[in-house]
Amino acid sequence: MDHLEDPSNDAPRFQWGKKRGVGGAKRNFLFYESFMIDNIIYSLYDSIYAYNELGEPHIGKIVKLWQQPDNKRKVKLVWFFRPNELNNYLEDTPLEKEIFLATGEGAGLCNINPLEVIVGKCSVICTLRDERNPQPSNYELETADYIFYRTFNVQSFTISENFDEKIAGVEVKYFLNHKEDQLDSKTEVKADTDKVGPLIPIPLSTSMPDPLRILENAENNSIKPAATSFKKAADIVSKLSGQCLPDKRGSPKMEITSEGGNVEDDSVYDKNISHSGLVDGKYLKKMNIPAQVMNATRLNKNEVESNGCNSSSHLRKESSEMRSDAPVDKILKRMDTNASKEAMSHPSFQKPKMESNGAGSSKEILHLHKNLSENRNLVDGKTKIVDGPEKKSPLLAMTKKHSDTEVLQVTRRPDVDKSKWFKMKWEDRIQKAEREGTLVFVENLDPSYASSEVEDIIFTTLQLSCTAQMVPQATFQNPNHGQAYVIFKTRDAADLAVSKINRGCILLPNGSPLLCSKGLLEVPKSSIRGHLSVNKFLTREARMAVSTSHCSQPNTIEYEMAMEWRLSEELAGRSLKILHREQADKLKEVKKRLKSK
Amino acid sequence: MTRHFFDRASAGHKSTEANYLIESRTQIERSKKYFWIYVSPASSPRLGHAKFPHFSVSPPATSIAAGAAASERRSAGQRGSGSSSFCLRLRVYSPHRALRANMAAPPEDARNAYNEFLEKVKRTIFLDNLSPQVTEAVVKKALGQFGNVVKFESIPNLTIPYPIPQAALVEMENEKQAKGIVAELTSYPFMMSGMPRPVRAKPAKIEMFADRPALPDRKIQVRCVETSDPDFNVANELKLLYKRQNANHLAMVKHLLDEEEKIHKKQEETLQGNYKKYEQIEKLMVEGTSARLARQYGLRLDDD
Repeated sequence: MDHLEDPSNDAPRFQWGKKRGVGGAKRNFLFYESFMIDNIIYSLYDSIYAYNELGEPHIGKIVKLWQQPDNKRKVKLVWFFRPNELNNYLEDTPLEKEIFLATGEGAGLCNINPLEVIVGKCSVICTLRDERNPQPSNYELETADYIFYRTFNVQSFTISENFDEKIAGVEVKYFLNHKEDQLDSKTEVKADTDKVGPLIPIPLSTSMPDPLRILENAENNSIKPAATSFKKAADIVSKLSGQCLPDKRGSPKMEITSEGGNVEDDSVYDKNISHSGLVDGKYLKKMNIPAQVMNATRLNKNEVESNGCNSSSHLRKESSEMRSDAPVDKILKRMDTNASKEAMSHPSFQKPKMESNGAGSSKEILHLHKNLSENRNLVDGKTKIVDGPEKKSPLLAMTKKHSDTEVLQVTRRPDVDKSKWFKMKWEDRIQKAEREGTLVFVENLDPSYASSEVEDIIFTTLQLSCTAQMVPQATFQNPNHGQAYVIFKTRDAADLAVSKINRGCILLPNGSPLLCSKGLLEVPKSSIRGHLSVNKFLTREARMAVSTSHCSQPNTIEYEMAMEWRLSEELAGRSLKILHREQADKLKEVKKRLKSK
Repeated sequence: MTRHFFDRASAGHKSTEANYLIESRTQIERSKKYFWIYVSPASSPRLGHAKFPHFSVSPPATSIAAGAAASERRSAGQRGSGSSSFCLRLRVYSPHRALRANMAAPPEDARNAYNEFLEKVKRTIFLDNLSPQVTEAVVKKALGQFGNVVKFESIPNLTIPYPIPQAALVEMENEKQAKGIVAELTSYPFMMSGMPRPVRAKPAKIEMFADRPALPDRKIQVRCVETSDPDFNVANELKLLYKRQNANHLAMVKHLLDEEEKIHKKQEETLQGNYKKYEQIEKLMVEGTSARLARQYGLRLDDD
């Protein structure tokens, strides 16, 4: 009971991103395309680290994100295998940073896990020579955390370079490298019918006043009487929404309609900028339309696909009719009028209905409130998009670049790896680690650091557990630079650490960048200089006298030789001292150039 | 560093160093997590007793046995979810958090441990230029005349690629004995299982101990510099400077060791010359040549 505590204070900030749809038998499973936690955005088909109690985190790719009715968040991951997990099936030596994508069917291919298992992101680059796979650049290869070009079939336990068209129900292109254009493409993931149920888009509300009003206006202006079907009304609304949006990028239909209205669009946008207070209200009201239009567009496209009609040609015809019959400026004025009327009469409009109609009107009012709340959420999302160009200014870019440098507070790591029952001698551990390939030599440390502090630094910066031992400062050691031997758990971890430290730049508080290399330096045995063998002519008593250790007496040849050694050592000490002082001065001079020290 | 929520292009699928470092920090924060644990009232008398975790990450299987284990794990989860109506759910912090709380020693204990270490440093001496034949027993016997040797720890050479003299740390019973040894060995050349190079004794320093504890009040902040940062170039220059200085240091060490080699050879030649002289004199005495010459020239070599 001592560990019971309210987790709300420690819970990281979480927010779902774009919604994809609903699923499940009762359509109460909400699917998303992304989520944000502690200002880090995770999207579908991102490669992530998954929590692993036994050692290094697992590597997986997100293929599905959803929230269950009981507010539990779930994620479906397709796994990557590390080479050390496939030792029995590998016939050749894997490349550096190579991992293997799971394919086939069965256990080990993918899992459904709680969202909390995601502990970080990583970059995985595919180097497969295939027309479906855009080839990565040298920079991408260099900065990638892992690479893969082979698959491991979890059914037949074979490693191959053949990629199926679909892996775990997802098209293979989402596992390969992708270009920027593919980021916005809609996913074609099929839901697991056994567990979650079919994925159904959000249905459009049947009571939508705006299309009806627009139809009435169209009739008044002698527009050709369109069919009363909902489909055409949705088409009309989608065109109007295209003209209202300030962002001109989009489908060809929008480009066609915007050609004739460039001046009006720009003027409207300028007006919005000039009058911030009034324009915000109007603009927010205008943004109510796109929310409904998005739903209408989805339903529209589904119907078009189901009917087999050619949607593009049909929409172009409608756009041409709209352009010829009703000028854009008139429609915009009407929309402004409608928005202002709604804004002005909204409070008084609700009260009479509640008083006069009763239960029926209350339901309608509740429905309107829901629509408004949904629209506001989407409007908030839209306004953030409008702020996008501001972040592209050069000053902001420079500020952003300068703030890319991260300052990490080194914290204590959990000492779960340290055994208190049996400890091997450190020299033996080093030899063993050298044979296993898990030994890393870290240089340029602060000489005053302790071994535990080196372990904490490695854990904080690289998120890798290790055991470190500082090299003692003896006579011939450089007092300006500390050194340490670090033993990792696996060879992959050691390789990752070496790569990260040498390619990146980790600055210690004293301004020294870390350096590291793998392996143990071969050192010869101790020197016997100065210790001469005198057993040839000494008697037994004399040899015993020498071995018992003694102070040399003056006026003997032994004393003279000893004094000569003393002089030599003193000169050597002074030489080293002068060299180290000069080196320290040089280091201090260069470190002064560090700006944010 | 802030990022637009819906800006998927910048979020991207390519994790840069900045992302990785952000994730590192996130991992630290996210390590403070908890697990839902189902506790059955019938099986445990106390509500705080944990039955089993509700969920865990299913690792990828690499063999049939692992696949079976994964299936068992999933079936166990299903059984747990099936019996949820009869269970209570409690939030208990993960073992990592508890272990971290236990392992994080209070500041006073850390400070006391560090003070004890400082006391140990004061009563420890650093011995240098030892012969390879010196062992713990030899050191204890040799220094036993100055005091009681508590601990002997040799310092291995792990970084210098040349044969350097052996060094060791010797802990005495008290600080007075340690100071006495340093004073005595500094005043007179002291030979220990080897001659004529004397053993050198110095007071020990903190950096000489490989297992030294961390400074209690020290806070370390490391900076992970991106390639776009102006300090990145300075850091690279520092790396090159370190490599150059290290090479200079090793070159100086090699030069000094070569000088020692010269002295060693010179003294060896001197010793060999003296040995030959002594051998010749002994030969004359043993063969009786000296006595014969004394009688011929009328010299008296005896003490009588």
